[in-house]
Amino acid sequence: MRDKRFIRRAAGTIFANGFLFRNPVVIGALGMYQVVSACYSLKNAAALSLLFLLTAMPAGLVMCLIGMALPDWSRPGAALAVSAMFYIPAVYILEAVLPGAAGSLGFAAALMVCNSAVYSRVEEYAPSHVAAAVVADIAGNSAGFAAAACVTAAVRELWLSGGLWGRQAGDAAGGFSYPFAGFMILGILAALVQWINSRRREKYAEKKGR
Amino acid sequence: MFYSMMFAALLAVSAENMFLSAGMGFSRVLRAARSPRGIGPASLFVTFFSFCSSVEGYFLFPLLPAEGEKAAALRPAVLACAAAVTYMAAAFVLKSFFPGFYEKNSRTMQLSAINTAVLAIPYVQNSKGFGLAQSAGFALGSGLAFFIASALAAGGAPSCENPDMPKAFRGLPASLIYVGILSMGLAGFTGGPAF
Repeated sequence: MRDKRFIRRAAGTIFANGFLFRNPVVIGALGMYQVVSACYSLKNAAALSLLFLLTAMPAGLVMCLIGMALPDWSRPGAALAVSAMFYIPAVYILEAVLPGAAGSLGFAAALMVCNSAVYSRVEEYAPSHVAAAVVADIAGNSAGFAAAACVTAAVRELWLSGGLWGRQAGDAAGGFSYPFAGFMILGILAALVQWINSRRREKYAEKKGR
Repeated sequence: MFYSMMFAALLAVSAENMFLSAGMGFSRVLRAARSPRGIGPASLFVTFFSFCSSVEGYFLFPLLPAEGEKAAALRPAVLACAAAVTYMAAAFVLKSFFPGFYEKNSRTMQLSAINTAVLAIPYVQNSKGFGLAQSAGFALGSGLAFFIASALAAGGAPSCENPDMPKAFRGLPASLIYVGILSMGLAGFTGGPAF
């Protein structure tokens, strides 16, 4: 019972780290290409977030099982090949949920297979951790990626068309859909998360001081 | 042939700069910028793996489905597997014959081989209709573009830690805004997103 509670609490901490405190995009500076170049509509952000989860979760679990059995020099290549293998069913599921999304996202969807945030979880984290931790970590990182992607997309879509969920995937228009706007919004988001982290550290130090 | 190759290389460095115009491989650029001494080796690895990726793309693209769901699912998976095999072959050769070099550069090599910019090369050459020489030129230019982007990011790093700016903006947030301004400058030259 106590073990179960401990695992649940540890999983919660791992999830929260991936989602906010060590967000892969705004703190880790990983997986930025998809966010800056394609997240100018919420539909794009939702499609990419789903693709992230569907590729990283099974690939992470496979690498958790076999990762440590592989020689060090081959692990990065194996992680990429395993991600590629799970990318195929991920695209079919994405097409079933959001028809036409994978095709219209073009490069951004295709390059999700080697997204650095996916790769870092699958190659660096998964082989050296237990399955429960891997699931919590990838769920947290997927939620973190989705949060960064959706906030960036929402700001840009509101600016571009004055509404949300209206733009078609791959339908770029206007300066705010260009990557530079994505970088700037990510910069402001990163500052916000850094501010939250520093407040958290101050509160922790106060508590310890008492 | 030489001129078309050089023209493609020039495109990769300027108007079609994958790193600054599209943000491809930017996490690797920022990582390389953290240790300026590593920018050179990282750029050489990016050039080598980009070149391999362009050759793989040139031969594999005609064999893969061109349109529809099948293309969207299979093309990235097959090209990524080819990149994985290339990385493993290179790592195996270096580990076997140059173990000292491999130990020193294995992490840099890994991050340079597996990133969005390197794997984007086959798509770029396909969308632009490049031949083998132009693809090779574009791959070489991409290595140079990586070097320039990393050097710019490294050069701007001290300013991004300026104590006069609010604490929350120091470091990565300031770097992202700095890169955004550089990217805006390039967008002004190209008239829009390159990819």
